[in-house]
Amino acid sequence: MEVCGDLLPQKPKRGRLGYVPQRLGLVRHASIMHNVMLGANAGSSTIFHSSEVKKKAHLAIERMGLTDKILEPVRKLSGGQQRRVATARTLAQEPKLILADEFLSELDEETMEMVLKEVLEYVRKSGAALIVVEHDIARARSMADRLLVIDDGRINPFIREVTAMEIKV
Amino acid sequence: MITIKNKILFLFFGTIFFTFWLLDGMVNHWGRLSGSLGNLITFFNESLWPPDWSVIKPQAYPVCTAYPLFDFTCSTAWIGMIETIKIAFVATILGSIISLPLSMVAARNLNSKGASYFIRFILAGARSLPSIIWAIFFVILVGFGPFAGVLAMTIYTVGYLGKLQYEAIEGMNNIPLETARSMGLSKFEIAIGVVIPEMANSLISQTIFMFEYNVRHGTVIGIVGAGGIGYYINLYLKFLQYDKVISYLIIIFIVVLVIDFISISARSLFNEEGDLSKPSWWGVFGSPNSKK
Repeated sequence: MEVCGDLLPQKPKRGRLGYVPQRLGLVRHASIMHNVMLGANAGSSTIFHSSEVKKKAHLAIERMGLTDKILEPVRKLSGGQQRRVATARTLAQEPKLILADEFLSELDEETMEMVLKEVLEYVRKSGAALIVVEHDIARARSMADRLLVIDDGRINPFIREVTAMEIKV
Repeated sequence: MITIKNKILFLFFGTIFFTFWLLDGMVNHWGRLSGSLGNLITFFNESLWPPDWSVIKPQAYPVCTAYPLFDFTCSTAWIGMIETIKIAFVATILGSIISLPLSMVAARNLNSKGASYFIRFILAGARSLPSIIWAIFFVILVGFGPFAGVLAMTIYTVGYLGKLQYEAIEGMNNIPLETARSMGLSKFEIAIGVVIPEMANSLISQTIFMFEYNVRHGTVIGIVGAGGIGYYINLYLKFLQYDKVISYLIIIFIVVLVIDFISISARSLFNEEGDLSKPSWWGVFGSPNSKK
């Protein structure tokens, strides 16, 4: 299997893989800006913060609607806001592949739509791949081109396309 | 039948018996204890009490030029105590600057086994000798005075603080590290961007604790000539002027209490949530986390 031009299980190149873990992996004692800068920095080749990198970070924060809290420590944010910071970090990174684990949970309906729209827009514009782990099948259907159902730890080969009827079941 | 309760009782009384058996082996004549209380009372009344507070009066030479109200600043107690605090401060700052990068390498969740064990070996070596033994070495190397004390306490600080730091780093949540690695950030970037901000509160708290520890231990390194108030204590011990020695000890006790209190107050600013919680003065006598 090839990911970002590398054969798995080789380590992907710097900044190519964006990861939004279920438990977010944020630096809780640092600000939103600091966390998003980590992503923006991973997406650039240098370890020094250039103005372009900062601009990317600001833009990603703005897309997630967190501009007014930019210097707020992450630990003081609500669960949904923290999830948006993790998504902003990945958007600022501009990766080729995004692995997102339940990245829409804890969000209210309106915010969820906004986050999903921004992520899908990034995916469409950049041509990146997005792999999402989602327990809500209806929500997964609304964003996915392909759907794999993992049942009891294995991919169920018989449920590739989930129909409305199966969702009801 | 041997129940768990009987096993615990057996273990308890067995340990007590073993302890007294070892003690008995080290005491050649128990009768020596009989006069000890009388000796203590005589020593206290004739040599220790009342304390000789001339140690907080200005020295005859050099002539004190301070304003009369502040002439205690020319006393040996003040000069020695301030020197001890200075030694502790400089050693803590230098030690923490050296120990932080070392602890980053020593932390198993950040580096390979080989690099980690190598640094742990160095840190263990630095703290295996107490600071007073390091002070003897450095007095031989650089001569008498506070510089030897600073070097000795810096080495000890590196060993002790390094261990506290790498253990704290190893205890940190692994998910931010995993995420940073998956993004492709370098080890240096992870250390600066993830580990230090995430662990800042405990790293600062440990450094403040180390300063407090160094002040307490800095009082004895002067005994071997490495500067500080210990130098004067040693001087008066040699002349058997115990009433002056007790004055120094009382001053040390008060200063250590004050520094402990400042340390607890300062560390409370750097708790897990980073919010100010008012420390209680009696926390000095108990756990650093004790609250009202």
